[in-house]
Amino acid sequence: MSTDPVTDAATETAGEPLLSVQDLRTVFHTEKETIHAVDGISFDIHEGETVGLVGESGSGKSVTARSILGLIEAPGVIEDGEIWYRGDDLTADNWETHRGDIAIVFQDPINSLNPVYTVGNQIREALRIHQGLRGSAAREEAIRLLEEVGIPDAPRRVSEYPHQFSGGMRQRAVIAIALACNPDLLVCDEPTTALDVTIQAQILELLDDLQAEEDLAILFITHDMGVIEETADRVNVMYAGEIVESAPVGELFDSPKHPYTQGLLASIPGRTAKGERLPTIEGEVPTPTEPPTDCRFHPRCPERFEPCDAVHPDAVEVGEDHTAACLLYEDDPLPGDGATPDDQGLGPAPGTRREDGGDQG
Amino acid sequence: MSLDADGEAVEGLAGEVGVGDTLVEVSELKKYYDTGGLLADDPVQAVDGVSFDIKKGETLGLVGESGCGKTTLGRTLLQLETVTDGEIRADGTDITTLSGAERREWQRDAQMVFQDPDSSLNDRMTVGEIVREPLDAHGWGDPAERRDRVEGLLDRVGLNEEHYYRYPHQFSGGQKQRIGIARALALEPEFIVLDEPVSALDVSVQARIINLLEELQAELGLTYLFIAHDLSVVRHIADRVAVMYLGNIVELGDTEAVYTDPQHPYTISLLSAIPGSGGTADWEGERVTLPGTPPNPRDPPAGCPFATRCPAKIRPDEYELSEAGWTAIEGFRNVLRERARAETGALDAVKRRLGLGAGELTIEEIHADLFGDLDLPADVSETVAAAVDRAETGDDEGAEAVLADAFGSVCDTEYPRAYETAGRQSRCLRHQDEYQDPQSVVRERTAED
Repeated sequence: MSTDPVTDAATETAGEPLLSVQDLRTVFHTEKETIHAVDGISFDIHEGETVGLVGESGSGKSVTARSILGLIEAPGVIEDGEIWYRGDDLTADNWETHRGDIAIVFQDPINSLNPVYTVGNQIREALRIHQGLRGSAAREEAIRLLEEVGIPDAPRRVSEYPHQFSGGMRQRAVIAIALACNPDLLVCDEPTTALDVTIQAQILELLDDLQAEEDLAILFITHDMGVIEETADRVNVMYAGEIVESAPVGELFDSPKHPYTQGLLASIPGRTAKGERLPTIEGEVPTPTEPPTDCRFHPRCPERFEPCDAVHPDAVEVGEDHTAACLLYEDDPLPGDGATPDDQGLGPAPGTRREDGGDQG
Repeated sequence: MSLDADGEAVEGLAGEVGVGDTLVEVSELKKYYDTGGLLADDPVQAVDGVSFDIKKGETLGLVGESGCGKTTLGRTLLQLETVTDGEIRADGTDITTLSGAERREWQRDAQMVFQDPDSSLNDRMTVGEIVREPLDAHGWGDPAERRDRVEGLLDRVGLNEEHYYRYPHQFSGGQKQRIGIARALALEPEFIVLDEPVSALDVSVQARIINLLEELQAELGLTYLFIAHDLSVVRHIADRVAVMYLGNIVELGDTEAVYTDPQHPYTISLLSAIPGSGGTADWEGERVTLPGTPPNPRDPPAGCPFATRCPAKIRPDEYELSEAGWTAIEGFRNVLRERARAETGALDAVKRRLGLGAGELTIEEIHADLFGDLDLPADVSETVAAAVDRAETGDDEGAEAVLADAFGSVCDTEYPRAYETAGRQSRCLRHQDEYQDPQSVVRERTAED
């Protein structure tokens, strides 16, 4: 993040976004109930930008990734919303048109690779489908891609099987396959979670280099706040299918506004002195089965007040290019703005809410 | 001595130790895995001679990357694995020699909590049965007492009585880990090996489990060996920390001291690799990105185990070579070592003869790949050329020897002893007076990149 001025500069993106997700709703119809896994989220990704999507298990991060790739299968369905990519709405069955423009790297490399084909075979398959390369041209390109992702001795390793690769090497191979599609957007779903910290550092560095060389846009999904701080230009925090806070990375870490984001950051062990209890968020991430009529975080929220169980908060501006979906801010003035406009009509009774709301971040 | 919930005195093998005394003393412990068979490779040297103490009431953190031997070490301490060599002494008794009743007594005193609650809890048993199983196995009390004990344990770890008849799949990850902790506590152990107990959990759930473990430790006077690859968790919970690499403990000392002032080059690399500014590491220098992966534990380096990747490796003085040049030479040596090893592997040899060998890169290509457009001084490129010539005749081992002779150092040949430095132990030859210290070397070299 702020240690790297180049990354900060990249946040100043302008013009049309490469990908624009608008009010996306992905639901899963099960016998018992309907699970609103992704429930009305919107965000943009610009060319060459890294957008982070962070949250705990069950928050809907991976379903968002799969929705963008068109990988949602029954009983799941994209019920509503649009995913715009270069002027086309993908949800209007345009995935084939842009097949290969968006590639995905999954968490577990061993499950993303087919154990009975060589790594080279799998890269060549992607090259054949997406770039029409065959024979020795495909082989040479496969070797070049393996070299590009930093696999030493690539001409030998191209004919090896996934089990002959170490964990970090496998993830590099998966990235090479993703690159074989020649994508503009790389969706990375927890790409380093299964890896050790020094190997993780190598993969993050690789993604950084690739982004610089190929002007790739990256959607980076993780539950690890440290990784997101390192990689993302902009961060969206997900909770129970919704984006509860969105801000440039530095801003989010310096002054998190949503109580959930504050809780997440506080519970990272390195931030609490030894011997002290770690701050915790009680309870579990709920599985949303109904359209929201309240704040989904309110049962766990340390800041909850009267209307939180009755009013669903919308994202409101809480700083420059910084939004949070929390009633604490619904009628708050923007920083530096003296007035307190109460245009929401549902402001809490005076004295029931904390005036200093989220300023402790 | 410790007291159980009813104030009843419990004594075990390690039962008469006071706080701060040594509870477990490990010396020169080795655990090798031999696959056996005709075409067998060398044994995997999972734990390769480690020595350390665990003091009563403390939490000793054990960190390292996957495959470094930390889980094997934990399992060996509990006698879930037999020892290849070395001693584990608890209260003066070498537990590796125990059998029968005494061994069972140790296994009662020392328990384990596993990483993955999904696979460590039997899905066909109720929670009550799972927690009661160790009581049954060790013939603890009568059925009514066992039942009371289990209910007390469930309550203690933050579950309740009504969970007794439920099955593990009805619980969340954090709750399952609580069940695992209750089971570990059932026999009132003194010592618990926690093997990545929170790695599979989300950060907010993780924080609650860590708080629970700390409460239990304070209340029951437990001693923990906390195994983790997550360095921030260890910094929070551990009093002392041991850093493992390739079956060896490379640094061991007070947690805060190690995190604020790492001595061993591997510890420096590890801490510098933690992403984000979450306050886990205080390393101010550049990030160290280690080349490649750890060496094969079947064939560890002859000298320092970390020498093949070390960012502070001792180098001969006579060369005027850039960082990139040194990196290329070390990389070339690693390739030659791997090729030489592949040649000696029986299976690989057979494959080659049958023409199944992969499309090999010629040594010229490897050379071009590594050295590319590097501008090497004349004496260096001559030596490298000589090595290339040797390798072209098929003698990879000889080629490596040429390079080792010219560019190798004491790190390649001498196994470092544990030096006492900055109030802790660190196995790095740079702690000898004649060499510059590892920290400043790493800073200089990474700055040059």
